[in-house]
Amino acid sequence: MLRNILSVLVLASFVGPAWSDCQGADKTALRWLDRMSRSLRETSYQGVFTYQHGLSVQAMRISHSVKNNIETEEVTRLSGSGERVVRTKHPLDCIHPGHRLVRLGALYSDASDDCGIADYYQLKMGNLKRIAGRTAVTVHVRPRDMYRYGYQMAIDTETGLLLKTQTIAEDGRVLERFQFADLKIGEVETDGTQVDVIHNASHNFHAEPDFSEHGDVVGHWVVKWVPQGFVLTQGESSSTRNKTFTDGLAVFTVFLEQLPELPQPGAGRARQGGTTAYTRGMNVSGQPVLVTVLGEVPMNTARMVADSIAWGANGAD
Amino acid sequence: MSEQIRESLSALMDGEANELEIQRILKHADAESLRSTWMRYHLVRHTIREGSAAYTDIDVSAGVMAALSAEPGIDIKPVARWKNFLQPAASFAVAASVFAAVLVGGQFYGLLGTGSNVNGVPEFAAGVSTVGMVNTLGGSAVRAGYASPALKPAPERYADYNRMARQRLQRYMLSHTDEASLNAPQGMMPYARVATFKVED
Repeated sequence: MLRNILSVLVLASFVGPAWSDCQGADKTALRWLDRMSRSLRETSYQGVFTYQHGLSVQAMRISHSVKNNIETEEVTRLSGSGERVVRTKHPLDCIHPGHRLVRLGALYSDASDDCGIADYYQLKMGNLKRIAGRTAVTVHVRPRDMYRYGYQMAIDTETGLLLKTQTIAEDGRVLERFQFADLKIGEVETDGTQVDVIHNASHNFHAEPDFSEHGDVVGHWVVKWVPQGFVLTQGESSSTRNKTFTDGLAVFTVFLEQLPELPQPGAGRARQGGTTAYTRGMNVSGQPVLVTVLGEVPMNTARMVADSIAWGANGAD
Repeated sequence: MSEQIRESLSALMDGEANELEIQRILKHADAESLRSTWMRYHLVRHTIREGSAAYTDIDVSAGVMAALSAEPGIDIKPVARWKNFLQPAASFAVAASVFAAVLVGGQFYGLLGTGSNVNGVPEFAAGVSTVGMVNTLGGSAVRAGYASPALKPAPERYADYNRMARQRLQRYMLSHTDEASLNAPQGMMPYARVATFKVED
């Protein structure tokens, strides 16, 4: 697992051109994002946040505690049916590719020309804001190409926690918003909220139940094209049914279902907030498959990724 | 210019306009306000991406028009309408997308074959030129036209796939979020996107 992640990162470092000044990236902003990424894992906190898209608003309680370098975290839905997601026993030193891409690493040594996400996003510091009763700095994140969305993030000045984030489409529309309404830093108290359903967040896809209507995918398939900067979150061989890619800020997953036959080739689209689903039925080397790209990327990106599916053994480059 | 047209235009710029929205824009393509807004959108986008607005004032519409006129076997009657509608900055994008459509259409049309009717793929109408076929790999063939009747897709088929996309958005969201929560800066917050944590049997 770790070796897979490392190999992905080694590959990632050769992707794309690099400039020593990182195309004028605001290094203060890069530092804040780095701090945010670490704080998310290393701080103990609990609070209530809202998720908003269109007219829909959800309230969720979140808690995150770190003991002996082991993370325990949970999210509970406060409206509708009582549902909770729990992730336990996640060691702090298990750092996934998405976070590694946001963290600075060797960024400021003169020898390194690794600009991290600054290769794909323009970063700019904004004004101070007050969110959930706390002071936050704003970081404006704009994509350098049309394959990803922009973000406006508010980061707690004291702890570095992400207090608010908005996903912004190319035309400036806010697609979705996560925002803390209340946040308490420090030891997590027991949460008395009643729940009916508990989902144990899997750490990888192995424990996944079979979501696919149609049987397992036979053989290796590859995604031939992803936008620059996106890397696999897991090793190439970890799943035959789905592959997840991230550039450190955006994440999308490609799902493949093998069909006995293709009734009619075609494609469909669906969206919810910042999430896009693009499903396409097509023949790949004569085999009928249904490809779905699901994630927080523009529709066009999802379509181009879906179109690049092929049978084979090599990963996306 | 109405808010509705503005939204359609914005969707078109995102590459996400549906047939109805494209029709709506084409219908109002003669309006000065629409053309100038369209041009402005391009300017803004270009400036954001490239950091300057250089080269956006080069008018290639005449060249595009000439190329379209010289194109054999394609219905060019509506060109007069396009003449008004193509504007300096906008024309570049339009030309590029028309070219891409022709390229992609022509390319994959050959792969699909005309005579075969395997897997219920309908045969193409005889005599339809391959030039102007908007198609992507394995997709259905839709004739690109400038006049309204040609813009109709097969509605039931698109609706079917849209329904499948909607289903999969719900079904796969939990699985996607398990990975997203480990890799995106929001941590566990994206679980709010999941409609239900119940795993289907």
